[in-house]
Amino acid sequence: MRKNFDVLVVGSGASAANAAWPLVEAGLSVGMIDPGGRDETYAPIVPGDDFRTIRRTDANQHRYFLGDEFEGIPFGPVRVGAQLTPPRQFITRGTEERSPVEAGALQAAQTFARGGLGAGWGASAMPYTDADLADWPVGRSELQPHYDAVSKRVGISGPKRDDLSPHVGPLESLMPPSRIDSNADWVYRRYERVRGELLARGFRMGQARLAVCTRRHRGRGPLGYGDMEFWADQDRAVYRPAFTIDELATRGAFHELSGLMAVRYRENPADESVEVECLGLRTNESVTLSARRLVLAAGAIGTARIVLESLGRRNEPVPFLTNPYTYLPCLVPSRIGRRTRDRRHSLTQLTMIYDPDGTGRNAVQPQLYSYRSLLSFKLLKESPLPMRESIPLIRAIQEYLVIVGIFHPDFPSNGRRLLLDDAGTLVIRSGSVECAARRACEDRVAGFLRRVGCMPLKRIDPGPGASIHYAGTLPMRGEAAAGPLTCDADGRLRGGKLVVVADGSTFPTLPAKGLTFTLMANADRIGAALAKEMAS
Amino acid sequence: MNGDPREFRILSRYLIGARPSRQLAERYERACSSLFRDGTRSRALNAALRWPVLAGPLDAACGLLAPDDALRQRLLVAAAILETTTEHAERFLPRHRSRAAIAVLVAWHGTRAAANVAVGIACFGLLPLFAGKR
Repeated sequence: MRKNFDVLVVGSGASAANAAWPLVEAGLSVGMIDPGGRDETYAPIVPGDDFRTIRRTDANQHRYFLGDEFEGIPFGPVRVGAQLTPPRQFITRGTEERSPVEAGALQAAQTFARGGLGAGWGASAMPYTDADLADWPVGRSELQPHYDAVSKRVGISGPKRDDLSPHVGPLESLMPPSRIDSNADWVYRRYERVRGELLARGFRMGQARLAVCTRRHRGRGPLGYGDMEFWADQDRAVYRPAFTIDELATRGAFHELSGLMAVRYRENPADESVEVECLGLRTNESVTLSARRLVLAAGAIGTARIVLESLGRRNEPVPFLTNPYTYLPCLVPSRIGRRTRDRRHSLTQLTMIYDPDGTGRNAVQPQLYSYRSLLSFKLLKESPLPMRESIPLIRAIQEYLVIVGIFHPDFPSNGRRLLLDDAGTLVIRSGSVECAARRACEDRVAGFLRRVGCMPLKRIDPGPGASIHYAGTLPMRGEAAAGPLTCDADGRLRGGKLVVVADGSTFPTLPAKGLTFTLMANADRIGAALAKEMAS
Repeated sequence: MNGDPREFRILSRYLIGARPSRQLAERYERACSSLFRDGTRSRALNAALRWPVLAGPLDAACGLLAPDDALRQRLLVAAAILETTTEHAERFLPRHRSRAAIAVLVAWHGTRAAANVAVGIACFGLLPLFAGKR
């Protein structure tokens, strides 16, 4: 099979879908190469009811809560993606054999899912500010129109103004914020009482900006507050990249090429075309496709593999960034005995920023969730008490438990490197771990949490890579810092003419804020720049 | 047998004081076959199944001394299966109680847990005297 497109896009995640959008809008023929994995087991059997109703009425609940192979029952320490419940586990399925990675203790999640890792993301949508972009060759002003375009496309909800506004910047088209749950409401009111003191110490709090439709938007939503977001895409209220692909698929110029894994590419300068060699995952046959331009958006790990393989750069290390992540389960003791609203969502309720030095560069981002829909038995595992005694105690206090996840920024100075070895295995070598500084920062965050009424119970470090935020393998750099295996400000891979990179590979640094919103905005920017260039 | 119905009955009775249906016992057996392919057992598990009255003390001792013991793992699987059923979900769903009721609950279950720990640690120490493969 050999087809000619104007542009081939590799990947179908948040970056790929949003890079493809402006290209299709410009009238270019776009082929999207992706394995196209879907959940065909659980998605059809999860009812549209709310969590409590499902628990009381659905006789099949064990299938999606535990999994048909009981894969939802965890043993051992908390690891990557605790929120990757059985209905979400298709996201990482099947990658180990086709795309081997040796990462030691680091957890490197890859995906063959339609929609990429975005098929299970937490929907936090915090844009980067100029402070976050200090080491980037683009600033907020260049990204701003693309944040706005993506906001309109995917639907972002959040308050127009609060204490987080300086760390968010202007955003057009915000939908009304989602309704926060009883714990978050209580904590936020406590914060308002002591905000002057906390602001002076660099800690601020606000309601989460989420890629969630709180009103009807492009055939999606509104959010139904069923508390089933970890298990299903009810009402399609939480944005998934597959929704954008569904919209693109209605356009004649867009072609979804499912069941393919891109292996390598070759630029043909003579006829200004690029050939992509793919592997058919069902047929095991090689397939070559060609186009005038190639957009790589297979994720920081997948794109690095393709580039290193294509350019014959085996054993050459490139940077690898991932946000360090820690969980703090907390009790809200002053709420004990108070009634709790049953209708809620499972996503981030409150976002916090702690900016220890006031520069924004080293800011960390804690996020507060309430614990309920991940089920009680997972808490039993963590309880040192006998299980029979733990069940009624957990039942009594579960409504007052919150989980605070703390994301830290990451920089190339971490020393972590990724390379493709002679056997075709990606090897990720761990770098320096600044445990003491990170721990001290988390201690200060724990202190702030106590001031707003949250009592941290323990600290859980799920290990490097657990944030499932990966970036930085082919960073964008200005001309002064240009080098091989870097991209220019428009994502063009240096050393060639026809290949652009539109995913997290291009991020020179990884701020603590969740990266997905910026992945989408940056991909839209790169796609728009490519469309403009091809039009001229 | 890996996760036989009698085992599930004993663990369910200990966890929630209820006798499970045959359908749930079959589900437990399937789960054990899937999760514990080598059928690993422990002295604590064997003892708890032989003398069900010891399930509480041995669970308490394992919670402190051996959290990954086969007894705790089987209890976790049993709890997961019970929790995700319409007939037993209510025993796990959060329930509103007054602050005073929660204080009483904590005191009662805390005392029971402490007593179980005391008995359990003694039993745990004596387990090597009994037959059974760890």
